[in-house]
Amino acid sequence: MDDCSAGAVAGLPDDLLVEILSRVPAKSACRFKCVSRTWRDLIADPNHRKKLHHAMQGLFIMTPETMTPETGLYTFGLIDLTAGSSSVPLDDADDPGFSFLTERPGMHNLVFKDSCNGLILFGHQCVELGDIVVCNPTTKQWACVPIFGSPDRFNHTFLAFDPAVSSHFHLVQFQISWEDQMLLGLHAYSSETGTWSHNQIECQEEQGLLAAGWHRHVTISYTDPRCAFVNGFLYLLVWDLDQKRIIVLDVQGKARRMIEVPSMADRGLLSCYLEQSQGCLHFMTTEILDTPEENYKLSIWVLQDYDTQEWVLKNTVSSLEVFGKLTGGHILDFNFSVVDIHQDRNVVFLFHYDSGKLVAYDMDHKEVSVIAAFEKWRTPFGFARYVPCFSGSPALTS
Amino acid sequence: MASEKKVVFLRSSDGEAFEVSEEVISAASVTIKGMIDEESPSRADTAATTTLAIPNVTAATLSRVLHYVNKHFDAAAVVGRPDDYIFCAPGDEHPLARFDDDFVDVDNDTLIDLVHAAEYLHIKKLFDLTCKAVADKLKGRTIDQIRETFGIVNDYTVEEEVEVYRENSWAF
Repeated sequence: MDDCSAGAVAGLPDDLLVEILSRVPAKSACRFKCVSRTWRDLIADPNHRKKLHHAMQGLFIMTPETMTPETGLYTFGLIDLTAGSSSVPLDDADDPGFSFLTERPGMHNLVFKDSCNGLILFGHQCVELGDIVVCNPTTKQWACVPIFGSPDRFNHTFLAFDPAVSSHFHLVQFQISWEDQMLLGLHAYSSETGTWSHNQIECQEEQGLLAAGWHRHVTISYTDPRCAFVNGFLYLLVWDLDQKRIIVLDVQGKARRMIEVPSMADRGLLSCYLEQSQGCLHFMTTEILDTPEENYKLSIWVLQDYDTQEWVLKNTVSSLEVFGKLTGGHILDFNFSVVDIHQDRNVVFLFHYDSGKLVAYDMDHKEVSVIAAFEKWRTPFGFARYVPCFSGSPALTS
Repeated sequence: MASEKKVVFLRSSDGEAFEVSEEVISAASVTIKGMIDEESPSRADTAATTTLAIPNVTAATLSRVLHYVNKHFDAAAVVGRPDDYIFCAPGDEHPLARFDDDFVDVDNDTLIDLVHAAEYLHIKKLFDLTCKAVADKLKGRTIDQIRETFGIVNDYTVEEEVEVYRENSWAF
């Protein structure tokens, strides 16, 4: 544009301007917020979020650095989920290895703990206490949060962040007994105040949101907890006596509700997963089918109505259907795990152990595509959603 | 054989008529296909050719659009299937990539007119191409250059401007 005339260009209606801005790299689009109030409002408008790259763009992966996992060190990478469907370069994730973090002193042993709407939570491998790191991979801003606890308790920390509501984030930490996985402590952190709350379990005894003493019969898995953040609430999968249930907490760590999971045959049920997709809570289960092959069934449910706790079965698929074609009829172990569900589409990501392949299964079109393949020793240990978040946050200062 | 092919005439906003194959323009433009479908009962098996008024597009722009359409949608002229190229491996150049590059190598106003025309005529490939071309021109520009190009008055107060620059400083 050597001629800087203000002719036809000036008369562009908003919808065409959005179409054009959706085709500039996201970083440039963000810079253009400085042009004028109108442009800022247009670019920041929640209705344009999906168009302007706020949709899920990829999956960060964490793989062992060396063949000897004893070193406990991981490297990070990004699987681009927009490849082939968009011509917009992912230049806003130009350091998917997080070297801006891991090359700092004391940060070499970071591991994924959680991710939420564009922010990623890291902890330190093999260090129970100490700082945790909250990072925005798009802006490369980050902050350390000192964590507390005691060595006789196991900590799970989850991130709650919604850039449409606030540029501040919350953390909710569960302290679990090493012996019996009982819930001992529940604390919440706000980046706005920079402080951790008192133990919310004790505070809640008087509040009566749930029956007093609810936590005394709740256990939480310490190997693989499942938690999703949907519309301002955290949903955590727990064992309540001998039943699976979901506890709903607000960002202050106050328990609001206990909801039932979809009714199902308990026999053969292997794993359950909770994730957020398209603004709704999704619950996924895998179970062994009664067939000669090692075949599993994946069921995907969506919480249609929070108030009535109505679950709707969205899709079921067998591992034979998903992985059968990939192997050209070879007999193989169909065992897999659910990695994630796409934040904006009816697509689940499954990891198939036997072949080392990460697969995207499109529920609408019943299509399967391999999105990454790994050597055995490089099997990913963790995943985190890459959802670009372009707003700088006062909470992330580094 | 070519003489047997149905043609339609498109009349631009400034009154100039352009001849184009009905088959080609129907494949390219959702809008014109709709117009032809509406017309067709009244013109079945008649020798008369149809003239469609395109009131939003000038002759200069329409002739460019038809040049693009004939290149991309005329099966006889296209090498390979026209939609294949999005699946090409990186580095593989689509036969029309050079044509596309030259096609959008025009001044701002012409390009924006093409965006409008592609939107009105609902020619998705052309819309994507022209929007991307505008985007490519914009992405390296400074804030002042953007304002100048789009004729935008900076309506931020000094304090607001400092704040918005600070918030987005990572993107510079």
